[in-house]
Amino acid sequence: MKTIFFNILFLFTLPFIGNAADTASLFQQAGEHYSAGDYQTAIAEYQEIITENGYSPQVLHNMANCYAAVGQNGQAVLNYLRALHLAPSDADTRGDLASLRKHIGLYEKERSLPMRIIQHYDMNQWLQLALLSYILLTILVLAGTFLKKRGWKCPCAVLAAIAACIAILCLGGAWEQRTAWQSGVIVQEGTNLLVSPFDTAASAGTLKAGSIASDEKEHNGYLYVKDDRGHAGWIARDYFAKINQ
Amino acid sequence: MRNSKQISLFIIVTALTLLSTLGLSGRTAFANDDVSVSATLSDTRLALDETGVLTIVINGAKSPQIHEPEVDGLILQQNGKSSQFQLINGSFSASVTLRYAVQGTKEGTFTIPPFTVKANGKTLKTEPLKLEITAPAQQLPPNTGNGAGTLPQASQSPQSPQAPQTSQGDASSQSAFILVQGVPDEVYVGQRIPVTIHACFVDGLRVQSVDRPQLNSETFVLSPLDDKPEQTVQVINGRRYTVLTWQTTASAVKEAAAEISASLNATILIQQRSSAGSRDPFFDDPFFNNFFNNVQQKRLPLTSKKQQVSVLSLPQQGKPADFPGAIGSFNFSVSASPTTIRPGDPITIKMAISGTGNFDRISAPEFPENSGWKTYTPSANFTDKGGIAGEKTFEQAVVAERSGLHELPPLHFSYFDPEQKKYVTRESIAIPLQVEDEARNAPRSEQQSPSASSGQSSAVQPTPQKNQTAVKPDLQKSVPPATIRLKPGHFVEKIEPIYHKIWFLAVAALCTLILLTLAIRCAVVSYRKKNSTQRNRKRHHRELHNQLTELNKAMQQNDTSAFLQTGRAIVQQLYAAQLAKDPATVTAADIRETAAETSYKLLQTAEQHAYGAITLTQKQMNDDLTALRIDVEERS
Repeated sequence: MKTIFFNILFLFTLPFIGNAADTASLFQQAGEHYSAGDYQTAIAEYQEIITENGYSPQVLHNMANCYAAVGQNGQAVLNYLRALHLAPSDADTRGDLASLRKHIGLYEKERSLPMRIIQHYDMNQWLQLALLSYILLTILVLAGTFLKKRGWKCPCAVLAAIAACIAILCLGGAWEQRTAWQSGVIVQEGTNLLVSPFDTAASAGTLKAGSIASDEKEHNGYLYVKDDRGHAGWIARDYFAKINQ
Repeated sequence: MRNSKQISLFIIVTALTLLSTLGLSGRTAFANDDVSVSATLSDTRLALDETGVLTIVINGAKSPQIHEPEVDGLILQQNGKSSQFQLINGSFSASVTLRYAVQGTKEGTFTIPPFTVKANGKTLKTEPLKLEITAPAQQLPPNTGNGAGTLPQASQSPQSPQAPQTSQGDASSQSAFILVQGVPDEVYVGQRIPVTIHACFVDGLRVQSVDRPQLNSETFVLSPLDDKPEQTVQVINGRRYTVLTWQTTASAVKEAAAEISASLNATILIQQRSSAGSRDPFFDDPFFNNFFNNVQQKRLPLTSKKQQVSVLSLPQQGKPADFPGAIGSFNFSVSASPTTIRPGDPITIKMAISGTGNFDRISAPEFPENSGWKTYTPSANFTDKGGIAGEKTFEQAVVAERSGLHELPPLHFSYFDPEQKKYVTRESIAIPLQVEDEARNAPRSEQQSPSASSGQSSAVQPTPQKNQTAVKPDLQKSVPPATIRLKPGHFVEKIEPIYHKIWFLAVAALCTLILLTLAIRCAVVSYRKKNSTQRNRKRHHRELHNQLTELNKAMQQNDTSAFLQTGRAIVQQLYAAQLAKDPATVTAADIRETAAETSYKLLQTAEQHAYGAITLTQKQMNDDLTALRIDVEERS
């Protein structure tokens, strides 16, 4: 009986195991193409992995490396940012992104200390911290309510207040970082910013590929975008890709 | 009987004879009628906003064919047809009457040509008719002017349009016209000029819609116009006009001796007015006149007078090598930050070009080649300040490729000034840099460099910046080295924020539910505590009441022992709260000063009964019970 049960269980898991093996071999194959300098093939293989399995920070990271190697800086920055959204603590991805942005001439603005602290964590990380604080607050309130010992109520109240403050601060940090999730990346080199959303409109400037911008409105196949330096204008929809999908 | 038959027969024969005679007569009449046509006008003089009636009467034909003439300056619209048959002296005749609404589109005296009518195999023509169209009734008195051949002055701001001169020399005869202002006699290829287009419609002209004006020129390109032009009311040559104004710019695209004009199409509404010779005076009232009138739409094309413009090519002599094609008048300024750097640190150069001209031709001034600086593609930003004025700024990052660079080289910006008819080159001064050793951690500063020939001066104080870790850029390779992952890792279906995940929402909801439950519980407990005193009091009162009932029972049973025992319990309970004692421990001595006399005596008797039997009479028990009831009521 046991044998039959385990056999049936094995049969159910077999497709997943098989699929995982295919993905691993395709991933390895893509890595070999990357090492050999065949970046376009590697990109295609990484795209296939994403199509079949979804997103993983490792696949996105490697694909971004390939895009950077072939000079598609916009796509490279986009995939680095997506990898960071999934794995915010990945120092290698962060470092490679900073290195690429410096290479293409996109420099970070000077940030104040509070902003550096806030931007040290991703929105998801701030929300996780807020949730932990919230859980701690709940436990402390429960303990304070049901513990009969007199000496426990006051410390529980104080700790609950601290947990509440931490939760509120973390929510503030998450709120501040939410724009990073709503932003997108300019993927086309030398994108013209137009004053109006049609082909013959005058140019109001240019945005480099890899610039991070937020889209505010859409009209006639054009998006109105604004980057962190205040450059704003209309660009063709295809030239802009959202980080968050 | 015989007479009636005869009379009937006579009537029948007479009727038959009469009918046959009529029929013959009719055929003869129709066969022998001559065709004639006539045309009459209800008024020979109409105002611009009035409509007259032209009546064509064709006699002797039932179905004539009519060819209507066209008149420049008049609108003829058929709006009625009637046929009439007459029997006069035994002969029949037919006539057809056609009515046309007549309205003028401009003032003047017009001749309506003959109408051609074909009927019964003949071709006839009406007589020509004269019609005078005058100014609308509500216009202001016209300016007397300065004599024939001169333009009267406009009575509004200097920018207001002036009415064009017609071939007759009378500037006040146009009910609608279009003007183009701001076009100089000479422009250069690529030069952008501000242009103002005015479309003027006299007061009283009912304009339903106006299309956007177009430029009639192959040499100039007009910038897109606003859908909603500025609308004002102005008096021009003594007449009120509604003026639609478009402010735009135009660019010359090729060398030519060009003519430039503007045109647009407007749709006006023509209102019919009933003729003065209406048969029914009731419907001749102006109220009914406006109510029942038809309103017709009519297209009104307007074209401005052609202006001669010479489009010249830019001179080749003196053209700078870095001339980008900018034509206008510009200022140029350059700033850089930081100016205190370590080797390999990037510097951001900001170049600002402001003024008037064709900004779309302006590109970022080029950094000198082989100057030892690695440059990156600049970004551009344009700020429109209305018309052809604006400011274009460029930001470019540069990094020193070698040591020993102590200043940023001067940058040049060249343009062609059409006023001075020569090329102008603006040059910035070199910006000094302070390059620090890598080992030091000195504060940095920001410095703005004034432009040499722009006339601007800057007085920006150096701003200290925070220390940054020195970064050695990898300038050898084209792409910075990157790490690569060896395992695919964990996959997710979508890249989405954590608050979209069910587990996150579930945990947050659970915590919220627990906290809410605790909050509600606390509120309920607090509420109950507040009301417990009241409940205790009620419970106390209820117990006393029950005990009084027992006391009454004991009295009725004449049971002194039970009476005293119950009475004692009642008194003890009644005064226990006041004394803050357990009811069982309350004695007569405790309540001597505060209790009612009956209650005190009852408790004392009950205490005495515990040591020696005491008998109470029915009356005593009754008195005690009554007094105790009163005491209980008073204290509850």
